[in-house]
Amino acid sequence: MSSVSQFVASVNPTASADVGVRARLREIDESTRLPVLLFVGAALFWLLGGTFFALIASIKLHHPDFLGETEWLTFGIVRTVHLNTVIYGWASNAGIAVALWLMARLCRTKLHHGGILMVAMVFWNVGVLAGCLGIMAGDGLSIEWLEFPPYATPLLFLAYALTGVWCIITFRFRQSEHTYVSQWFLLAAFFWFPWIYSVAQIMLVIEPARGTIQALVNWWFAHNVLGLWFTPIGLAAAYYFIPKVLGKPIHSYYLSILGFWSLALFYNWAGVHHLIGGPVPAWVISAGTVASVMMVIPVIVTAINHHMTVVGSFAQVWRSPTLRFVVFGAMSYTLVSLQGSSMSLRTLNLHTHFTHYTVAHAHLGMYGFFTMIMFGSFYYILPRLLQKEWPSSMLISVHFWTASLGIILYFVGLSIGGLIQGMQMNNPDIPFLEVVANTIPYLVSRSVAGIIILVGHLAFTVSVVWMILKPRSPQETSPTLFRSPEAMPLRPST
Amino acid sequence: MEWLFYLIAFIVALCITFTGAWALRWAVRQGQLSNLEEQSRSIFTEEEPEGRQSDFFPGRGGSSRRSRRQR
Repeated sequence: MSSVSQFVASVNPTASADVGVRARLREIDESTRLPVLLFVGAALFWLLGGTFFALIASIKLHHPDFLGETEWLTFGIVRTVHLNTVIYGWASNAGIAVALWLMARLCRTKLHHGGILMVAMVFWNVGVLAGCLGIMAGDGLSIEWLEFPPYATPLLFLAYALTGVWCIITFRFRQSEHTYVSQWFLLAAFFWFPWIYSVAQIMLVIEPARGTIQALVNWWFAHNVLGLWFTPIGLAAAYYFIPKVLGKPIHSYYLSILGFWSLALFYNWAGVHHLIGGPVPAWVISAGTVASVMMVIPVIVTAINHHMTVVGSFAQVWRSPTLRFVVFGAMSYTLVSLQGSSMSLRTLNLHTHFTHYTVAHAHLGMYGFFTMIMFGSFYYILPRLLQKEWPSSMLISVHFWTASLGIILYFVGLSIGGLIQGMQMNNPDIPFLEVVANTIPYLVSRSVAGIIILVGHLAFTVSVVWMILKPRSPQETSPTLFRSPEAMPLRPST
Repeated sequence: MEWLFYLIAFIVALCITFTGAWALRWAVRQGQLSNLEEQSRSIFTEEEPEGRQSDFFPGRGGSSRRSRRQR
């Protein structure tokens, strides 16, 4: 009984001995070091795995015989494993790592109950591994974004619940007077994801709904994984790192709050636009289209805020690894969101549905926006956790240029190819196989983009491993490790 | 049995909606939505103060070379 009362006391901020005491940033960083590094390590593992599977799937689209004799390397499996490794492996691990560091810092409190996060990290990644192996073994479900076999999902849900509980405990222990807009986004994300995931599991896997309701629930879930899980975490990071690194407040804090509440109001209606032309009631589609267009409000608000904060400070952005990636991600967010709203209009959707244009759009969102912001966040967080500088400017530059040019090539190539594909598919005079053959040059450009992106991921991995293994310099002792280049001793050029 | 899951999903959706409304009410009553421009400075601390950039390329990065040339 005493252990129960001890636990209750440990999650009660009024019973805490250090109530009212704001922790120093360095103390907070030190307290979050192990769990954040574990999540980052897992994210990197899945990033590399997901990229290899992506490349195999991409090559198969223009060379179908490539690795075609191995059962678990057929396109249907490889593409599905890629999707799930990057969503649940890379992006979710990276998002949780950034979210928990941000939450501890913004609450100005040291990590409480870090063991919960360790257990969550192990459960989550064992669940993802079991899910991917299950898909390779042929147990995968034919539900987009929910392909993991049923035996893997309880682990994910348990891990997620633990992370959410930790988030609430940390918020209860906050020593900051104000709840910054990033905290709003993070708290909302930690509430929203278990909601959409559990409802989708119940209505699609445990007790499948009948008929087209399955498709409605499926796309409500799949779109909201982006909009109510990854988007809030990405925006939380952008709203923190852009003003933080520049050393000036966000352009209009009022607009940021407006952006949060309008996103909360409109986003979860929008997923239905994936079913335009499908056998669902027209009013449902119309409601989804209206919500998609209403999303222009939070997107414009966010765009004004991010970009007006950066205007006049481009030199500082260029000198910061964090901001290069985060600002690239913020620009991608504006572009991909406005593009998404336009794609929900029936007239444009007529040409883009079932084409590579949609694939390009999805990758601009998950890579150009979310992944780039995660990279930028890591460039800020890891030196503060490890108390070390990044080992090589060149590797950071290689990572930035390959990732940014790679995703630009990917997006431009597939968007053009997709539009041509859509227009040709709507022309009954063009045989379907001719339409397929006409997409091949654009699919090749995608594989080239994938190879470029892989180089960047390898450079980033080498940077992280090198940084962890290298000894700490005696100069690197301050809480903020990155100093102005003018204040640094010049190193001999090699 | 199917109706039971629809009912559960509907109740959960209602709970989420009311949680959002409650959060907005809490924010208003706690003064979280007042004096917003001053609150935007809450991310700065005495260790990482306003007016100071807090992230640079390490060592002699290409960008820092350029900034030195400009000076």
